[in-house]
Amino acid sequence: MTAAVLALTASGLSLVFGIMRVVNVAHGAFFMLGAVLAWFVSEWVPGPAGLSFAVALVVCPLIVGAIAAAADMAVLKRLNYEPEATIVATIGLLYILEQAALSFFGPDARPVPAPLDFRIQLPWFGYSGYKLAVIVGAALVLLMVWLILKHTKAGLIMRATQIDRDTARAFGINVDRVYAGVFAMGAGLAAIAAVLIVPIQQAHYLMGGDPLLLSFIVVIIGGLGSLRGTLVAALIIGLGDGVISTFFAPTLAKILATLAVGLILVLRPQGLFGKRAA
Amino acid sequence: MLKLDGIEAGYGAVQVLRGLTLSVAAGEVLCLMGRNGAGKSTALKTIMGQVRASAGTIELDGTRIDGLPAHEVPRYGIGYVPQGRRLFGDLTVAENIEVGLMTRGRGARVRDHVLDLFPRLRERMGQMSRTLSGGEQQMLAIARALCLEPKVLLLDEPTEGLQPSMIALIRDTVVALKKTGVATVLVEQRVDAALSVADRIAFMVGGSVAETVQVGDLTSGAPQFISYVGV
Repeated sequence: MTAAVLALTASGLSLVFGIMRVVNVAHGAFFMLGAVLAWFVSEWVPGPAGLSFAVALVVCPLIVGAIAAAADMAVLKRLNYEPEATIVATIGLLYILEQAALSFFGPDARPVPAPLDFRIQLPWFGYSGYKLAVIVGAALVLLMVWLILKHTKAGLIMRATQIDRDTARAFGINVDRVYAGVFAMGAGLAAIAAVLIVPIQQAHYLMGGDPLLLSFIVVIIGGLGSLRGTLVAALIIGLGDGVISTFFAPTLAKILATLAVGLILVLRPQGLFGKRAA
Repeated sequence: MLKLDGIEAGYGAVQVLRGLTLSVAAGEVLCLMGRNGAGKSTALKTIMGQVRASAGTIELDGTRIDGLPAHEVPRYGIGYVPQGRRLFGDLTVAENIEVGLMTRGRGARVRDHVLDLFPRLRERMGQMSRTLSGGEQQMLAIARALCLEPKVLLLDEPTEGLQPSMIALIRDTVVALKKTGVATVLVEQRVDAALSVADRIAFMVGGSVAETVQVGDLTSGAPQFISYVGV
């Protein structure tokens, strides 16, 4: 399950870097915002947990995406998407979002009820039905992202913009609008991942740190901007993190993941599936 | 049809175009010639809105287009074939053409017409454009621009590095477009290529037009080629 959620979160980061060349340090904050908003939705929407969860799954990514698009237009666009400046700007955005969450949500971790409560019992071990649903849900969202990128007009526009934004403009593509949409989509993916995982982890205003770190690890190993690389690396890191955390220690899992990043940066800087810069 | 009047433009503090004035009519081919740095490519980029004009006006059929965002310029019917082709290399031939068609909402009729002009592309539709030969890439770059059904076509050194048969094909295409009323601004370094398709040649020096000459008044050994182009 960690791998599936991580793939979802990291694909948002990878998408933003791949198309906009922006290293979005605020990605973890968008993840956190998704979880915090899911808690608000669970509090405000009456009825069974399944209903509020379904509402959160639709509403939270939309709100987070809208905030991201506004941030893109208000901040990143004005910086002309200069790599160094956008890193600093997204660090600032990270702090603004975290402090806003602290102000409106408070410092406590708050639970969100799971929409499903059953266990799949196999002869040798049992597995949470909800976790299985998260894996299926994340896989479906990733499949949808791939279909959008490869088989829709919007995806074609995004890929053309990724390859050459000046030439894209010469063919009527409004690059500013594409960038705002991609930034929103990336943040929305992080928010979906957060809504899926918040019934297991609880919402907290500082919960974005780990997903951000792991997402960077995943996209560096997989290759920045490569969706395929992101999926493969998420599977390696997610499964590795789960196994090592269970049988040894969570800290050891993080140490090994960071070591893997170091090795990749030395031996294959473009990542497993990334393309070497021309 | 397309008229530039007193255009000043450049890159940051470096001014390249200094009072550039030129015009091209429907069905006419205007060739821009000059030495490196004369401002030929910058002139095309300024028309496309990729380089901002700090002074002067650009009009298309009487409508000012110099203040438009770069992505709105092609919607007025200006097709652009940049220097070095600038294809979307990781997109297939079909996808490159699709991007061209989307610009002005053109469909299957235009695609078929463009592919009839360049039948070799029809055989390569599923191929990544970066894997095409140089000539095929140039065909695709022109085909992509023609998908707009342009009123004005801007061609930046389309024959650069191509074999004679491909140059002839490009020349025939430009001549055919001319007959349909398309106005063409062609940046060209090759004297023979310029003389074979252009109606007028504007010689550029230091960011403005030094002299404009009807092609009928020129031969390949004309003194203008020596003094303005150095060939």
